Amino acid sequence: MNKPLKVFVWGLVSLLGAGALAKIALQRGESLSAIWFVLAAACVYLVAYRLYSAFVAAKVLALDDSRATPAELHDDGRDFVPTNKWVLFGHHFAAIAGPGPLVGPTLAAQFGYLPGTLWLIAGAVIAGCVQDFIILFCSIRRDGKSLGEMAREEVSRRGGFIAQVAVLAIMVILLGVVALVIVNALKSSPWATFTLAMTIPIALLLGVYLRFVRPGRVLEASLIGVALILFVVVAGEWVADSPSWAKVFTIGGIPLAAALMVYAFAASALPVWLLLAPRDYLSTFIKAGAIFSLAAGILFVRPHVEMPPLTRFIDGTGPVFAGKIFPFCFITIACGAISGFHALISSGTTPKMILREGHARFIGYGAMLLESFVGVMAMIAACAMPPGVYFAINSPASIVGATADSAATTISGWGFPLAPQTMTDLAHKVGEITLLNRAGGAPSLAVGMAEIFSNTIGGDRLLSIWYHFAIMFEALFILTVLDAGTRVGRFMIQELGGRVWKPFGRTGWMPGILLSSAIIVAMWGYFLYQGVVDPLGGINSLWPLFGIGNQLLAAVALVVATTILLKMGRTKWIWVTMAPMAWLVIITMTASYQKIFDPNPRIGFLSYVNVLTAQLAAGKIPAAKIAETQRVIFNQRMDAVVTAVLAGMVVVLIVEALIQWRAIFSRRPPPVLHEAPYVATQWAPGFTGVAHGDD
Amino acid sequence: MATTQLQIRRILEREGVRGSELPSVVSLSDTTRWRRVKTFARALLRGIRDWCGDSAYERYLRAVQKNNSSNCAPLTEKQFYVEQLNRRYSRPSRCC
Repeated sequence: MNKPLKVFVWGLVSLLGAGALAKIALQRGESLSAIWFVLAAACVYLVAYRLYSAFVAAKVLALDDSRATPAELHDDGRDFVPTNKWVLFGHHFAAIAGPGPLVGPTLAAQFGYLPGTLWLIAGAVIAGCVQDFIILFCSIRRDGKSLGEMAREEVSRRGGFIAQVAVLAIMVILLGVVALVIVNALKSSPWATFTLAMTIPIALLLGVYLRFVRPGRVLEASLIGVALILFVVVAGEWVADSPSWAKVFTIGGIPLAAALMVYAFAASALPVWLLLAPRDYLSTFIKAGAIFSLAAGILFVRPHVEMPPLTRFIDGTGPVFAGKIFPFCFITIACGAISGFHALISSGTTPKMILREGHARFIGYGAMLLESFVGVMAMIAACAMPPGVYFAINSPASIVGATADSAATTISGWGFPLAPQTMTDLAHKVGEITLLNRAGGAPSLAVGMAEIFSNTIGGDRLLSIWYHFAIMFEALFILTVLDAGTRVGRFMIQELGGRVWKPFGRTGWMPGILLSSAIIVAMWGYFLYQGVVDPLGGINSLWPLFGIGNQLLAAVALVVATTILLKMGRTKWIWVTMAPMAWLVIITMTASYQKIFDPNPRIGFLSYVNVLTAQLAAGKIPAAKIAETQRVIFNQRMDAVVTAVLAGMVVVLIVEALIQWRAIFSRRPPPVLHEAPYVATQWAPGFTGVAHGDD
Repeated sequence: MATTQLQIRRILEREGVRGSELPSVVSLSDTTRWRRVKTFARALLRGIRDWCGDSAYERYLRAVQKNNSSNCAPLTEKQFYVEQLNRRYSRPSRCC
C-alpha cells in the first residue's frame, strides 16, 4: 500500500473510531446498539496498535530483532522454548485473561455504561498494554527474570522485597475475592453447584489419563473433558428437577466457602498432575471457546444497551459497591484496563518463549488489547439487560430487601422500573430459585451472556442451559485461579519460611507442603469468610481492596519500568511509563484513603467500625447478633490495616525509586543496567519457530 | 508451481487483464487449492497443539537432540510430563 493510501485508510479508521466514541458518549434517552461499542473499541485498538505501540517499540524501547532472545540462547525444551508468535500470543492471552475483566466491568456498570467503557479502552491503550509490553521487554533483556528480581536489581534490594511481599498480599486478597464471587454464584443453586462439583471427578479422570494412559496428550484429553463438561451442564437440570438430589446440592454460603477451602488445600497439596493441571487445561479450552462465542454472539445479535450512559450512582451511593466514580470506577475495573498481575506473567513464562524482541509488541501490547476487548464485551452483556434486573441481581439484601416485592419497590424508586414478577419469571426461565441479591458480578454476567447466546441459538427454550453454561465457564476458570494461586502462594510461603527454618523451604517435604498449604488457604479463607458473612454483601469491601492491591502492583511494575528506561538513557520518553504510574498512584492512594477514613460507613472501614461500636454501646444490637457484630468490627479494622499496609509499601517503593532516580541523574554512582550481554541471533530473518523448523 | 501461477496471474491482473481474459493455464487448479487448504489445516492443528502443550515432549526431544552437550539420557514422556507440570505450577501462571 502506498503512503497516501495508508494515511487515508488510517485516517478513516480514526474518524470511524472517534465517531463511534462520540455516539456512545453523547447518546441520551434511547437504547444504543452494542455494535457502536465494538466499533469504537476496535478502531481505537487498531490505531493505538498501529501508532502508539509502534512508537514505544521503535523510540522508547528500540526493539532489536538482531539480538538473540533467552529462548534462543537457553533453548532447553522446558522453560526456554522458542515459540511461534501466534502460538505465544495465545499462551500469553490465556494466562492473563482471568475473571477480572469479566467481573470488574460488570460491577462498574452501576455507574452507567460510559465511565467503565471509556476507562477500559483508554486505560488499556495508554497504561495496561504499555505496562505488559515494557515489562515483557525488560524481562527478555534479563534472561526472563521475574518482576521481583528486576525490582531488586534495578531499584533496590528493599524494592525487590516489597514487590515480593506485595505479590503475596495481593494474591491472598485476590483468592479471597474470586472465591467469594463463586460462592455468590453457586449458593442455593443446585444446578450450578452440581455442574461445578462434577468438574472435579472429570479433572481427576483426565489427570489419570494424561499421566498413565496417554502421557501429555493434552489436546485429545481436553476434548474428552470438554464433552463431559457440556454433558454435566445439561445433566444439572435433571439434578435440579429431582427433589432429593436438588437438596444435596442446595448449599448455603458458609458451607460452600468451607468446601472451596478444602478443595484448594487438596489441589495445592496433591500432585499437580492429578487435579490442578487437567482442570487448567479444561478451563483454558472452555474459556477460549466462551470468549469467542460471546464475541460472535454480540456481532450476530447486536443487543441494545439498556443501561443509561451515567446513572445516579456516580455520586457514590451505588448499591453494588459504595464510592464515587473517582476513584472507584478505576479501582473496580482493574484487569481489562490495567492489571499489575499481568506484570507477573510478562516476567514469567512468556519472555522465556519469545522468538524475537520484535514480537514483544504483538504479544505484550496486542494480548492486553484483546483482554480489554473482553472487558468491553462484559460491559455490553451487563448493560444489555434492563437496569432494574441488573440492580436486583447485584444489590445486597441489606439495601434492596430479600424479596422480589421489596427489591422491585426500592429499585423502581431509583428510577429503574422493575416489576416483582420480572425477577421471579427470570429466575424460573434460567432454572434458578432466585436471582435476587447475587452480588459478585458472575450471575448478572451469566444472565447477560445467556440472553445473547439464546438469541443466537435456541431462544428461551435454551436460556437455562446457556445460563448454567456461563456460570460453569466463570466458576471453572475462577477455580483454576484459586487452585493455581493457592499452590503458588504455598511456594511463596515456603520460600519465605525457608529463610527462617531451612527444612520448611524444601518444596518436596510433606509436612512443609501441608503446613504452607494450610497457611495460604487460611489467609485467603479469612477474607472469603468475612465476605460471606458481611451484611453489605462482601463485594462492597473486598472488590475495592483487590482493585487497590492489583493497581498498586501495576504501580510497582511501572516504577521498575521507569527506572529501567532512565538507566537506558531514555529520559526523553519516560512519560510513557511515568504518566500511567502517576495516575495509578493518585487513584490508589485516594481510594486507599477513602476506604480507610471516609465518613460514609459504607465506604470507610473505620467509620463503619464507629457506627457499629456506637450501636453496640447503645444496646441497639440484639443479643443474638452481638458476637457477629464484633466479628464484623474486627474484619473492618483488619481491612483498614491491610489497605494501609499495601499503600505504605508502595510509598516506600516510590521513595526508594526516587532515591535511585536522583542517583541516575547525578551519575553518582554511575547507573548500572543489569541487562544480559548482547548476542547476535543465529536465526534467519524469516524463521518463525514453528516446531523448530520442521515446516 | 502454484506460486508461479499465482504470480503470473497477479502480474496479468495488475496489467488490466480481467476475468475471462485470463488464460486458463494460470487459474489455480482444484488440486492446488486443496493442497493449500491442507497446508493451512496442518499449520492450524500444529499451532493448537503447540498452544495447549500437546507437542511439548516433541519439542523437548528436539531441544535435547540439538543441544546434545550432556550425555544424560532424555526424560521419558511420563517423566517429562510430570516434571514440566511441577515447574509450571510453581510460579504465577494464571492471572486474575
